[in-house]
Amino acid sequence: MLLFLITCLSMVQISCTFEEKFITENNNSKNYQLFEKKFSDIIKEKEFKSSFSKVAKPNFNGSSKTIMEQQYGFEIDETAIVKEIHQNGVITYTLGIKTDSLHNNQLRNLYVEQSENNEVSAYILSYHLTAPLLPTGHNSFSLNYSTATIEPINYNANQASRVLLSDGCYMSNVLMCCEPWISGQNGVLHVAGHDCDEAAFLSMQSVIDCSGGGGGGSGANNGNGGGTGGGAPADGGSASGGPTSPTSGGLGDIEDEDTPCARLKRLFHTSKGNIKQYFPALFNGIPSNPNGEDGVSLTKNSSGVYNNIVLPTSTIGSIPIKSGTIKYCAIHTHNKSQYPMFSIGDLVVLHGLINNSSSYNITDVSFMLACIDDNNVNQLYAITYDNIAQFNQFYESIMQSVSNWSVLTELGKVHELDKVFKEHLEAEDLNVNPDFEKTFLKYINNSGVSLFKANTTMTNWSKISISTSQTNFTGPLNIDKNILPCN
Amino acid sequence: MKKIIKILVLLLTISCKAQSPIKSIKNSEFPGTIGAYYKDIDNELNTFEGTYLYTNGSTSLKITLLKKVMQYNGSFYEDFLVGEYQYIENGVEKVNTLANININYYNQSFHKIQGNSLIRAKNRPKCVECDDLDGLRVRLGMNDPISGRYCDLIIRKDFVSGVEVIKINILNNQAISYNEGVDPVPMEIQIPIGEFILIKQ
Repeated sequence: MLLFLITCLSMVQISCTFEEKFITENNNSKNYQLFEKKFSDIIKEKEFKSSFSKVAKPNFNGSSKTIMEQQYGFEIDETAIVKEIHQNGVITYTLGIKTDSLHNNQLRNLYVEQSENNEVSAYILSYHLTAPLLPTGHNSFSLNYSTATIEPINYNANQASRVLLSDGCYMSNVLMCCEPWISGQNGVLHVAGHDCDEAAFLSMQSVIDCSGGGGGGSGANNGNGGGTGGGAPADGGSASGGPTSPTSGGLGDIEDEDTPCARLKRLFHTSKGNIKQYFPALFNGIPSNPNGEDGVSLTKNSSGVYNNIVLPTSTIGSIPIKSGTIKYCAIHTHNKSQYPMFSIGDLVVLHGLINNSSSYNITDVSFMLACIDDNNVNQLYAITYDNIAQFNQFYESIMQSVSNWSVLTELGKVHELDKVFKEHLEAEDLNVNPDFEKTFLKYINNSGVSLFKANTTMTNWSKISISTSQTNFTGPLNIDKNILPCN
Repeated sequence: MKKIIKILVLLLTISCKAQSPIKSIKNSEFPGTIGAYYKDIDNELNTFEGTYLYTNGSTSLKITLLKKVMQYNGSFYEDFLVGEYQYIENGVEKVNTLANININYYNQSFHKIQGNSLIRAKNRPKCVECDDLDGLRVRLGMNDPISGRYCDLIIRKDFVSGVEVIKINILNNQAISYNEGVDPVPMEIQIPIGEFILIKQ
């Protein structure tokens, strides 16, 4: 953890003004998104792999280090959390570098940046410490240093110019936070960590290196570099294939759409919900946790910064789902004692997510269920709203339809509703090929809510609906389903 | 005379319509038919009545179940089981509502155990040790008076070494959510979760 914090660039004191470096705050640059990911997870992501592979070629001489690491004399700390920052079409990855005897008094990070044009550049940012790191709020450390150096990684002669200012200095953008431990006032400025997500306290700042020690490489064709830089990797610079197409694919048309399909597709996108990373861990946990549940809470703050929180595993039952303000969605599992379908209680959770969400999150609200069906196939379902007013009306009507409703608590009413719904699932279960989707669809017919199922590769959703306009929940389940993939 | 006959026929028809239809508790409906009587036609609930005890050192769970017939819930009539329980964990009594078992509440939902859902071996949680013929179980609701939360109480009647027992499974599967910063954080359930064998007293 300490290593992670160290690699996370820590804090820069505002008052410091050194000859060779300074900090500038860009007040107009709050349109960014911060993600923190494990190296083991991000290395599996197509977008990161595409960028990283250009600068860090694998080594075929038996070393576990990449050619870049060997050449520049460092080793990526794979236990450290990787920061991913999206801003104005630019994606910057900040990776930790292991400390070694030659860099005892330095704090170093590797930056890999993908430009709007999909050009990739990389550099090592080193702070030369003058005092030990001091802990501050939000899991960060304050940092005193004399100089900062930026050493470009020259992996390719066509490498795009990077962070070179007109005066010959290099610049690096860092997401900073000034939120204190206790609310109310601004605290000490430090590098934004996991817990700092309030827009009012966040800002993008630039760390500038005018030392020239690591300089060099200025233009698109000037990748010679200075210091330890220079030259293409020993593999002959095979990354010269040029820019690749965006790997995220198709985000543009779903960016701002307020449709159930667009809402759910954003969950898969690595710069949005980024939920794929939690599977198959969630599925694997189901057989081994017969009485409990797992879950993930998805948040997005008013600045549009997405963040996910893995909820503590419950071994004694359902996992409480938080709603409100920044929480727009959650994933939960059903254990093997439960049916592989949403419950009425789950509809109540969706109702809470919708009605307690902030205005900037309402177009993202949904609730997901990861479960294993009767054929031992992993399934990912989602429910989301078509019409909030209709859903709220439906919610009130089912609550008031509960017999004894006037004497029951909210939980008691939900229990009564679930009791009857389970009886329908149990009746369906006695069929040769039970279809619990139908049972649920009959319940939510005309409710303003729709049921979706993810495909096996978790790249798209299909809306599942009943093909008839039945409104009566009683009677046999002789209905047909429509399965319509999202565009 | 014809008019009188017509009026009588009409009255008879209206009278027949006003009769409470009797339906089996196995025929679940939502919402329930107003005025109907959901009856335990085969008296399957009777087999679960009694007082049962689980002990493990200084931890114990005692459950008493009674069948109630034709109880009105404001919308329709139904037969169901009600129950109360005592739970002692490591010598500390955490819940004890047994004294309320004979209270005839105006609304039976006040009992801490209540329900009438008859389920079979194939239903979840699946009964691996029973077949369909021997698989009759009942699913009841079990309320934790401390946390206010509800569990499912799955009960199966059985004999172990000639001793009459119930095998129960307490499941805490009710979805729970709260508005962070506004609602209180839901309390943990105070009753034991899992499978237990209780001996009939």
